[in-house]
Amino acid sequence: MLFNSLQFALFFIIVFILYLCFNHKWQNRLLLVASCIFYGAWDWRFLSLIFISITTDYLCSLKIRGSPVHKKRKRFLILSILVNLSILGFFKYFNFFSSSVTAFLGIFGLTIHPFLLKVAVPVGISFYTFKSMSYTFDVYAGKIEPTRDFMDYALFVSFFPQLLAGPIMRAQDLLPQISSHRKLSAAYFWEGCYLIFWGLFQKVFIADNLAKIVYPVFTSQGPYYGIQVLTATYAFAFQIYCDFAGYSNISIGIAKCMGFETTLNFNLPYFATHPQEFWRRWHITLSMWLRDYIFVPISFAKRSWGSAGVAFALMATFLLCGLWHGAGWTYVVWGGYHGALLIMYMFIKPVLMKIPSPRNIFLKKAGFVLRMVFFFNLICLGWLVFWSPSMTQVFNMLHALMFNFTTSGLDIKPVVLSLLSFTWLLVLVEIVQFLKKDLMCIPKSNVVVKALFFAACFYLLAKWGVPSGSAAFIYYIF
Amino acid sequence: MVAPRSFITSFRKFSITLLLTLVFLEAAFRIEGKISSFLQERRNQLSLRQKGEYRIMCLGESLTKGQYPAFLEEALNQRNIGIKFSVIDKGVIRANTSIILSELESDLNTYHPDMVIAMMGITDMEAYMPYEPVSDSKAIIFLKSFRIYKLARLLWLHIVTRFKELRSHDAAFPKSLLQKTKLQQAFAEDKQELNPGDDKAYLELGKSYRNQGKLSEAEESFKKAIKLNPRDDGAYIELGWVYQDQGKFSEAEESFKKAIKLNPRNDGPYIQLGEFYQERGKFSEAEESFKKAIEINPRNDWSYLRLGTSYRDQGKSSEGEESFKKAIEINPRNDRAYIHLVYCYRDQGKLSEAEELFKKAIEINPKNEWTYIELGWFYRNQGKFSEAEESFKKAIEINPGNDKAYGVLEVLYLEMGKMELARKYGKEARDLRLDSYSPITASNYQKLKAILDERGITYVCVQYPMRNIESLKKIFQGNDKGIIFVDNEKVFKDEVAKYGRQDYFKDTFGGDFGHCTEKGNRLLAENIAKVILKEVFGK
Repeated sequence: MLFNSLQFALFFIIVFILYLCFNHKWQNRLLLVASCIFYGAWDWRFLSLIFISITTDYLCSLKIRGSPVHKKRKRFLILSILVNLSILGFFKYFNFFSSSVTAFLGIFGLTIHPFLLKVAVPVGISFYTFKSMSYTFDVYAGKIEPTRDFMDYALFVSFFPQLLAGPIMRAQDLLPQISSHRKLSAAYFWEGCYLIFWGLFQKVFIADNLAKIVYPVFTSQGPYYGIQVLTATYAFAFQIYCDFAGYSNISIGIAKCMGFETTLNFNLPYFATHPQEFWRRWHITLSMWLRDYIFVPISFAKRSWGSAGVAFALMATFLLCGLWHGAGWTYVVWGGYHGALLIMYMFIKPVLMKIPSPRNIFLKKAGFVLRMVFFFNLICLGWLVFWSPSMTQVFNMLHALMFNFTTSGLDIKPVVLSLLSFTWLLVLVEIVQFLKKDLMCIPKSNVVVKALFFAACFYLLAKWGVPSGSAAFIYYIF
Repeated sequence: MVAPRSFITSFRKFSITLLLTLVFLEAAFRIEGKISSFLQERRNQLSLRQKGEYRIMCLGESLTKGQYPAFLEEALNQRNIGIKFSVIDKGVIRANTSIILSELESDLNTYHPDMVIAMMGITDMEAYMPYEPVSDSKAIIFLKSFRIYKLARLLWLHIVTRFKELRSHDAAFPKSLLQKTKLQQAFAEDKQELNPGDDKAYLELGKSYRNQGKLSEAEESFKKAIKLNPRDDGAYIELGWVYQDQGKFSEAEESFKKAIKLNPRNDGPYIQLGEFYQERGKFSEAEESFKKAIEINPRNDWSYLRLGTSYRDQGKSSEGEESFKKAIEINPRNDRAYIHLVYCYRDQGKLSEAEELFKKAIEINPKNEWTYIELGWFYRNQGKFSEAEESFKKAIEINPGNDKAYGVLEVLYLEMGKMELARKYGKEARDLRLDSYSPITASNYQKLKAILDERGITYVCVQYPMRNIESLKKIFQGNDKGIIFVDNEKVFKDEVAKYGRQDYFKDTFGGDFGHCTEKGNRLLAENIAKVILKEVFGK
């Protein structure tokens, strides 16, 4: 069941009506059953995997809390990590490593047949494994008390709005909301509906329409033209943002209708002016996870190295981040690229700080816009690597960008026009959100503004339509 | 729990927002319409000011407005034949043929064109904007004048079709989902850029070609499927039927036999071979084949059914009867077996038993129009005309698009001497056979001819890209003297085959064709210009 499918709409309406009729205890049971149905609708066999994850982490956490001996606690932590990582590794990375090893041996003239598994990657596995692991880590670190209610914990991991692609919520934020009574209010309900609507619009209208620009360029074998690569990459920057932020909005909206508060996942990422800020605005729950459980421990362990230790930790974290996105070299390179940007920023930041900011308010704003645009282009370069199927294609595309930037014989005007017509509303809305420093400024505004917003959405939908057979969310594959 | 009062107040706010949204939306649509027609009118006025030229007026829908006309003017003037051409674009977006013709008289008076080009009809089709019964109520007419009413209606239709799809939806896994949409797209766009290793996709593509009557394309697809998977007996069977359609009988037989050879323990290919023999009139070979199938799988009611028909073809009525009974024994819900058994009883004169069996068949499957048609014939043979009439009408009720049912009613009314009714149903049947044209389209094309003939204006009928010109000609039922037809089938198919669909069409608006790209519009314009120059100016 995709969030943008009719099945899901029916499913959620039924669940929501039942939810309104039940008391707290039965609401939780209903949500757990609904989550199982939701996940089982993809493939019921994968339910066993999530069950293994849940049981292991639940029991290990209780053992960790229960034993006073440090060594024993560490043993249970390692057990939990091993189980989670082996499921993840087996289902997601086995084929990647197997074929990489074969290719590596091939360099030395050894040809072996790679042993490849014919299994599909279970949807959302990276997300719920991370969610479950963060719980064990926090219990081990003594940050939270382990829950003694298995059903609550099972719902925490499998909560269906967040099951497939996050947000990766922490136990300290979500578990209390599960175990205690939730308040339902009209304000929450309408805010949730607004988020669902806007998320669907981002996904179904913007992202899926932009895919029509992105797809032909990124799947072609070349030769590429610079201008085509450029427009397709810009289009992809918006596509992946709307795809994932749209998903997150729907997820947050659904949870909100049922009285849950969700951690923010996207906070206008393309307004970032430097890499640190970008990762504080893009996929926030993942970058916080990586910061707390990978970056901080590594940099702590290498604290004797000074700033080289921090750089090392950054690089390691972002290489892992790339690998988390998918078993492929382009993802790893993308992670390394972002790691390098962060390290570079770390070193030039003191220099940048010394440049006095202009007094003139106009110059100040212009400087901000310039930095934003410049950094946006750096991110786009990353997306080009991210979405190319192979490194060869990356080089071919970069080559075209630099040396084959011709427009002759190409009718690029319609592509640019459609790019603008798909994204102008998003850009406008985000500028208002940014200036007002409030993501919910539209549902909070007066009736006329709201009506103008909805009319614009429907006008665009009527004018351009939705591509038939709306595609699956990109982030489901990660 | 929920506080109902706060929900009610917030619901009120929601309603106000919704209302205002609809008002804005309506305004936006109207303003957009006004702006675009203003721009079009300005362009037309500009071309009107240029005196002493040959004026051409283009009628059509969104495939005309702002599309090929400008290129047509360019193409015609480039030839330098000593005449200055000016083209007036009178395309109307979101219009059907009736709307297009509604402004015709006044446009003809304003522009005095020497020639009118019409490329229209696609929006008359039921699938695009379903037929609505005209309601007399003023309130309803007022409601329908809103743009947002049309939008809501389209949305509703979209949701309804989605629901229908839902019923036949299998487990949605993203990968299969993506593959599926890709396949569907490939069908819709009619191109062969499928996954080159996917033999099943070629098989499906071939079937869809065969359904569209594109036999050589279908043959090509099946051959490709076989090449990819030489052990697929299903592909050989499909190929066999395509050969049969093409009249290549020996190749067809060969193909079926190949399928049998590949999978000798499967009764399917034997049944298909038998059916092929049957259609070729080789009844004893057919019998042999069906018997073989039964030998392999004695529990298949279809084999018995076909064996029975092959007995009956040879006049072995009692063996046939046995066979049909056997089929019913295996599958008591096979309504076709009952119908076949009816024939046996009818031949033996057991009329009341036969009628019983008909009722049984209808009970099993009340939605089969063919049963009613057969029952009607059965009554008619006994001279029970009123029962026959009722039965045929029932068939039409089940499927109003079945021209056969109208045809048999025409025959029946002729026999009954009801000439008026016979004519009515005969016309209905013929209209249905006019391929994809609705009666509205046909009558508007004819109406346009009458208007233009009266004023002595040259009439050019342009068929849509990719479509067959013959069906357009059929509209005029032979009364097409003086009309210039422009055939865009071959030109476009050749080019599309060479450079790919996406170079010529932006979408799949019309199914096989869509709104043209600049390149597509240029091709269309060039082709029209060529025909006009040749037919009218002899160049």
